[in-house]
Amino acid sequence: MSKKQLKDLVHRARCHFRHYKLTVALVIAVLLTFVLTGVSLVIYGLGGFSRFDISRPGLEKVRQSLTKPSVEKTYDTTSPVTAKTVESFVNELDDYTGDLKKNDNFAAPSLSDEELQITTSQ
Amino acid sequence: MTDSLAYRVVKKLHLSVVFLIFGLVASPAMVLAQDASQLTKERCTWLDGYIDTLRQSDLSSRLNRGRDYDNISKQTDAFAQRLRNNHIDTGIFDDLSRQFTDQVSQFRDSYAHYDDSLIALATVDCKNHPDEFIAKLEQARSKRSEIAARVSQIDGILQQYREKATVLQTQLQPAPASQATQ
Repeated sequence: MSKKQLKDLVHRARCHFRHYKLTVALVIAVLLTFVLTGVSLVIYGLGGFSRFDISRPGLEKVRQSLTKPSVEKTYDTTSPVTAKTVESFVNELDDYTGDLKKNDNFAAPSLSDEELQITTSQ
Repeated sequence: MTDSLAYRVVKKLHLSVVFLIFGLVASPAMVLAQDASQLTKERCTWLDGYIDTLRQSDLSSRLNRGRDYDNISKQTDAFAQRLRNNHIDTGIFDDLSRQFTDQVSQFRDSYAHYDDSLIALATVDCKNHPDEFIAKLEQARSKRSEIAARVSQIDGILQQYREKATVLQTQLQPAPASQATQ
Protein backbone atom coordinates (compact mmCIF):
# COMPACT_ATOMS: atom_id res chain seq x y z
CA MET A 1 0.00 0.00 0.00
CA SER A 2 1.49 3.29 -1.09
CA LYS A 3 1.56 6.43 0.99
CA LYS A 4 -1.11 8.04 -1.19
CA GLN A 5 -3.43 5.06 -0.85
CA LEU A 6 -3.04 5.09 2.95
CA LYS A 7 -3.79 8.80 3.01
CA ASP A 8 -6.87 8.16 0.90
CA LEU A 9 -8.06 5.43 3.24
CA VAL A 10 -7.69 7.65 6.30
CA HIS A 11 -9.48 10.47 4.52
CA ARG A 12 -12.37 8.19 3.56
CA ALA A 13 -12.61 6.83 7.12
CA ARG A 14 -12.71 10.36 8.46
CA CYS A 15 -15.50 11.31 6.06
CA HIS A 16 -17.38 8.16 6.95
CA PHE A 17 -17.06 8.92 10.69
CA ARG A 18 -18.22 12.52 10.19
CA HIS A 19 -21.24 11.26 8.30
CA TYR A 20 -22.23 8.68 10.97
CA LYS A 21 -20.88 10.61 13.95
CA LEU A 22 -23.96 10.26 16.16
CA THR A 23 -24.48 6.55 15.41
CA VAL A 24 -20.84 5.72 16.18
CA ALA A 25 -20.95 7.72 19.42
CA LEU A 26 -24.12 5.90 20.49
CA VAL A 27 -22.64 2.47 19.72
CA ILE A 28 -19.50 3.34 21.73
CA ALA A 29 -21.62 4.59 24.63
CA VAL A 30 -23.73 1.42 24.67
CA LEU A 31 -20.65 -0.83 24.51
CA LEU A 32 -19.01 1.10 27.33
CA THR A 33 -22.17 0.72 29.44
CA PHE A 34 -22.13 -3.04 28.92
CA VAL A 35 -18.47 -3.27 29.92
CA LEU A 36 -18.90 -1.12 33.05
CA THR A 37 -22.05 -3.02 34.10
CA GLY A 38 -20.18 -6.31 33.64
CA VAL A 39 -17.29 -5.07 35.78
CA SER A 40 -19.73 -3.92 38.49
CA LEU A 41 -21.48 -7.30 38.53
CA VAL A 42 -18.17 -9.13 38.81
CA ILE A 43 -17.15 -6.95 41.77
CA TYR A 44 -20.63 -7.42 43.33
CA GLY A 45 -20.40 -11.20 43.02
CA LEU A 46 -16.74 -11.88 43.74
CA GLY A 47 -16.40 -9.22 46.43
CA GLY A 48 -19.03 -10.95 48.59
CA PHE A 49 -21.37 -7.95 48.46
CA SER A 50 -24.20 -10.05 47.01
CA ARG A 51 -24.15 -12.25 50.13
CA PHE A 52 -25.29 -9.39 52.37
CA ASP A 53 -27.48 -7.55 49.88
CA ILE A 54 -30.87 -7.82 51.55
CA SER A 55 -32.56 -5.61 48.96
CA ARG A 56 -32.73 -8.66 46.69
CA PRO A 57 -36.18 -10.12 46.05
CA GLY A 58 -37.20 -12.92 48.43
CA LEU A 59 -35.38 -11.43 51.42
CA GLU A 60 -38.33 -9.43 52.81
CA LYS A 61 -38.31 -11.45 56.04
CA VAL A 62 -34.61 -10.76 56.58
CA ARG A 63 -35.21 -7.02 56.10
CA GLN A 64 -37.98 -7.11 58.70
CA SER A 65 -35.92 -9.13 61.16
CA LEU A 66 -33.11 -6.59 61.40
CA THR A 67 -33.56 -5.46 64.98
CA LYS A 68 -32.29 -1.86 64.90
CA PRO A 69 -30.99 0.52 62.27
CA SER A 70 -27.29 1.35 62.52
CA VAL A 71 -26.78 4.59 64.44
CA GLU A 72 -23.64 6.68 64.29
CA LYS A 73 -22.85 7.43 67.91
CA THR A 74 -20.14 9.73 69.20
CA TYR A 75 -18.37 9.17 72.50
CA ASP A 76 -16.68 11.60 74.82
CA THR A 77 -13.03 10.58 75.01
CA THR A 78 -11.55 13.54 76.85
CA SER A 79 -13.58 14.17 80.04
CA PRO A 80 -12.38 12.76 83.38
CA VAL A 81 -13.21 9.14 84.15
CA THR A 82 -15.38 8.54 87.20
CA ALA A 83 -17.18 5.50 88.62
CA LYS A 84 -20.35 6.89 87.00
CA THR A 85 -18.63 6.98 83.59
CA VAL A 86 -17.62 3.32 83.89
CA GLU A 87 -21.08 2.43 85.12
CA SER A 88 -22.73 3.95 82.05
CA PHE A 89 -20.16 2.15 79.85
CA VAL A 90 -21.02 -1.18 81.49
CA ASN A 91 -24.76 -0.49 81.11
CA GLU A 92 -24.37 0.23 77.41
CA LEU A 93 -22.23 -2.88 76.99
CA ASP A 94 -24.99 -4.87 78.71
CA ASP A 95 -27.52 -3.45 76.23
CA TYR A 96 -25.41 -4.66 73.31
CA THR A 97 -24.79 -8.10 74.83
CA GLY A 98 -28.53 -8.29 75.53
CA ASP A 99 -29.19 -7.57 71.84
CA LEU A 100 -26.68 -10.26 70.88
CA LYS A 101 -28.51 -12.83 73.00
CA LYS A 102 -31.71 -12.17 71.01
CA ASN A 103 -29.97 -13.53 67.90
CA ASP A 104 -29.22 -17.12 67.06
CA ASN A 105 -25.73 -18.09 68.29
CA PHE A 106 -25.41 -20.80 65.62
CA ALA A 107 -25.13 -23.43 68.37
CA ALA A 108 -28.67 -24.66 67.81
CA PRO A 109 -28.60 -27.97 65.91
CA SER A 110 -30.50 -26.55 62.91
CA LEU A 111 -28.83 -29.02 60.56
CA SER A 112 -29.08 -32.01 62.86
CA ASP A 113 -30.65 -35.30 61.86
CA GLU A 114 -33.55 -34.58 64.22
CA GLU A 115 -34.29 -31.20 62.64
CA LEU A 116 -34.00 -32.53 59.10
CA GLN A 117 -35.75 -35.76 60.07
CA ILE A 118 -33.18 -37.91 58.33
CA THR A 119 -30.54 -40.22 59.80
CA THR A 120 -27.00 -39.72 58.54
CA SER A 121 -24.96 -40.82 61.54
CA GLN A 122 -25.02 -43.65 64.10
CA MET B 1 -9.71 -89.19 61.12
CA THR B 2 -11.52 -88.01 64.24
CA ASP B 3 -9.06 -85.19 64.51
CA SER B 4 -9.84 -83.99 61.02
CA LEU B 5 -13.62 -84.24 61.73
CA ALA B 6 -13.22 -82.22 64.89
CA TYR B 7 -11.07 -79.74 63.01
CA ARG B 8 -13.74 -79.35 60.31
CA VAL B 9 -16.49 -78.82 62.92
CA VAL B 10 -14.41 -76.20 64.71
CA LYS B 11 -13.58 -74.52 61.40
CA LYS B 12 -17.27 -74.36 60.44
CA LEU B 13 -18.21 -73.04 63.85
CA HIS B 14 -15.45 -70.48 63.62
CA LEU B 15 -16.65 -69.31 60.21
CA SER B 16 -20.23 -69.11 61.47
CA VAL B 17 -19.13 -66.93 64.37
CA VAL B 18 -17.16 -64.68 62.00
CA PHE B 19 -20.16 -64.28 59.69
CA LEU B 20 -22.47 -63.66 62.65
CA ILE B 21 -20.23 -60.91 64.03
CA PHE B 22 -19.85 -59.33 60.59
CA GLY B 23 -23.62 -59.41 60.15
CA LEU B 24 -24.24 -57.83 63.53
CA VAL B 25 -21.74 -55.02 62.94
CA ALA B 26 -22.14 -54.32 59.23
CA SER B 27 -25.87 -54.69 58.75
CA PRO B 28 -27.06 -51.74 60.86
CA ALA B 29 -24.50 -49.45 59.20
CA MET B 30 -25.56 -50.55 55.71
CA VAL B 31 -29.25 -50.27 56.60
CA LEU B 32 -28.62 -46.82 58.08
CA ALA B 33 -26.80 -45.62 54.94
CA GLN B 34 -29.66 -46.93 52.78
CA ASP B 35 -32.18 -45.33 55.13
CA ALA B 36 -30.43 -41.96 54.97
CA SER B 37 -30.34 -41.99 51.15
CA GLN B 38 -33.95 -43.10 50.94
CA LEU B 39 -35.15 -40.52 53.48
CA THR B 40 -33.19 -37.78 51.73
CA LYS B 41 -34.81 -38.69 48.41
CA GLU B 42 -38.28 -38.74 49.96
CA ARG B 43 -37.84 -35.46 51.84
CA CYS B 44 -35.90 -33.69 49.08
CA THR B 45 -38.43 -30.95 48.33
CA TRP B 46 -38.95 -30.21 52.01
CA LEU B 47 -35.17 -30.17 52.61
CA ASP B 48 -34.67 -27.61 49.81
CA GLY B 49 -37.25 -25.30 51.38
CA TYR B 50 -35.79 -25.81 54.86
CA ILE B 51 -32.26 -24.93 53.75
CA ASP B 52 -33.52 -21.80 52.01
CA THR B 53 -35.39 -20.68 55.15
CA LEU B 54 -32.38 -21.50 57.35
CA ARG B 55 -30.10 -19.46 55.06
CA GLN B 56 -32.38 -16.45 55.45
CA SER B 57 -32.65 -16.70 59.24
CA ASP B 58 -28.87 -17.19 59.52
CA LEU B 59 -28.28 -14.14 57.32
CA SER B 60 -30.48 -12.12 59.66
CA SER B 61 -28.51 -13.33 62.72
CA ARG B 62 -25.23 -12.63 60.95
CA LEU B 63 -26.24 -9.06 60.06
CA ASN B 64 -27.61 -8.30 63.53
CA ARG B 65 -24.54 -9.76 65.22
CA GLY B 66 -22.18 -7.97 62.83
CA ARG B 67 -23.80 -4.63 63.55
CA ASP B 68 -23.73 -5.18 67.32
CA TYR B 69 -20.08 -6.23 67.17
CA ASP B 70 -19.27 -3.05 65.23
CA ASN B 71 -21.09 -0.94 67.83
CA ILE B 72 -19.30 -2.68 70.70
CA SER B 73 -15.97 -2.17 68.96
CA LYS B 74 -16.62 1.57 68.62
CA GLN B 75 -17.76 1.80 72.22
CA THR B 76 -14.78 -0.07 73.69
CA ASP B 77 -12.31 1.87 71.52
CA ALA B 78 -13.73 5.17 72.77
CA PHE B 79 -13.69 3.89 76.36
CA ALA B 80 -10.04 2.85 76.12
CA GLN B 81 -9.16 6.19 74.52
CA ARG B 82 -10.84 8.05 77.37
CA LEU B 83 -8.92 5.95 79.93
CA ARG B 84 -5.64 6.69 78.12
CA ASN B 85 -6.41 10.41 78.07
CA ASN B 86 -6.89 10.18 81.84
CA HIS B 87 -3.56 8.30 82.28
CA ILE B 88 -5.26 5.08 83.39
CA ASP B 89 -3.56 1.82 82.42
CA THR B 90 -5.48 0.25 79.49
CA GLY B 91 -3.22 -2.79 78.96
CA ILE B 92 -5.82 -5.41 79.81
CA PHE B 93 -8.58 -3.58 77.88
CA ASP B 94 -6.36 -3.22 74.81
CA ASP B 95 -5.50 -6.91 74.97
CA LEU B 96 -9.17 -7.90 75.19
CA SER B 97 -10.05 -5.49 72.36
CA ARG B 98 -7.42 -7.10 70.15
CA GLN B 99 -8.80 -10.56 70.91
CA PHE B 100 -12.33 -9.30 70.23
CA THR B 101 -11.38 -7.82 66.85
CA ASP B 102 -9.56 -10.99 65.89
CA GLN B 103 -12.48 -13.24 66.85
CA VAL B 104 -15.02 -11.01 65.09
CA SER B 105 -12.91 -11.18 61.93
CA GLN B 106 -12.83 -14.98 62.23
CA PHE B 107 -16.58 -14.99 62.84
CA ARG B 108 -17.13 -13.10 59.56
CA ASP B 109 -14.84 -15.50 57.67
CA SER B 110 -16.49 -18.55 59.22
CA TYR B 111 -19.92 -17.24 58.24
CA ALA B 112 -18.80 -16.72 54.62
CA HIS B 113 -17.50 -20.31 54.50
CA TYR B 114 -20.68 -21.62 56.10
CA ASP B 115 -22.88 -19.69 53.66
CA ASP B 116 -20.85 -21.07 50.75
CA SER B 117 -21.38 -24.59 52.11
CA LEU B 118 -25.15 -23.96 52.35
CA ILE B 119 -25.20 -22.70 48.75
CA ALA B 120 -23.28 -25.84 47.70
CA LEU B 121 -25.79 -27.96 49.64
CA ALA B 122 -28.76 -26.23 48.03
CA THR B 123 -27.39 -26.81 44.54
CA VAL B 124 -27.16 -30.61 45.00
CA ASP B 125 -30.00 -32.52 43.39
CA CYS B 126 -30.96 -34.52 46.49
CA LYS B 127 -33.47 -36.65 44.61
CA ASN B 128 -30.89 -38.09 42.26
CA HIS B 129 -27.72 -37.65 44.34
CA PRO B 130 -28.73 -38.18 48.00
CA ASP B 131 -25.26 -39.40 49.03
CA GLU B 132 -23.64 -36.25 47.69
CA PHE B 133 -26.26 -34.23 49.57
CA ILE B 134 -25.41 -36.04 52.83
CA ALA B 135 -21.67 -35.41 52.31
CA LYS B 136 -22.28 -31.68 51.73
CA LEU B 137 -24.60 -31.61 54.73
CA GLU B 138 -21.75 -32.89 56.93
CA GLN B 139 -19.53 -30.07 55.63
CA ALA B 140 -22.22 -27.47 56.35
CA ARG B 141 -22.64 -28.84 59.89
CA SER B 142 -18.93 -28.57 60.51
CA LYS B 143 -18.83 -24.95 59.23
CA ARG B 144 -21.83 -24.06 61.36
CA SER B 145 -20.16 -25.43 64.49
CA GLU B 146 -17.10 -23.26 63.67
CA ILE B 147 -19.29 -20.15 63.81
CA ALA B 148 -20.82 -21.32 67.09
CA ALA B 149 -17.30 -21.67 68.51
CA ARG B 150 -16.41 -18.12 67.39
CA VAL B 151 -19.62 -16.71 68.92
CA SER B 152 -18.88 -18.47 72.19
CA GLN B 153 -15.31 -17.06 72.21
CA ILE B 154 -16.61 -13.54 71.57
CA ASP B 155 -19.17 -13.88 74.38
CA GLY B 156 -16.38 -14.95 76.72
CA ILE B 157 -14.20 -11.94 75.77
CA LEU B 158 -17.08 -9.53 76.30
CA GLN B 159 -17.77 -11.10 79.68
CA GLN B 160 -14.10 -10.59 80.66
CA TYR B 161 -14.22 -6.99 79.42
CA ARG B 162 -17.28 -6.36 81.54
CA GLU B 163 -15.65 -7.89 84.63
CA LYS B 164 -12.50 -5.75 84.22
CA ALA B 165 -14.61 -2.62 83.75
CA THR B 166 -16.57 -3.44 86.90
CA VAL B 167 -13.30 -3.82 88.83
CA LEU B 168 -12.21 -0.40 87.56
CA GLN B 169 -15.57 1.05 88.55
CA THR B 170 -15.06 -0.26 92.11
CA GLN B 171 -11.55 1.25 92.21
CA LEU B 172 -12.91 4.62 91.11
CA GLN B 173 -15.71 4.63 93.70
CA PRO B 174 -15.24 7.58 96.06
CA ALA B 175 -14.43 6.53 99.62
CA PRO B 176 -17.45 6.61 101.97
CA ALA B 177 -17.87 9.86 103.94
CA SER B 178 -17.14 8.20 107.33
CA GLN B 179 -13.77 6.90 106.07
CA ALA B 180 -12.91 10.18 104.41
CA THR B 181 -13.30 12.11 107.66
CA GLN B 182 -11.11 9.68 109.65
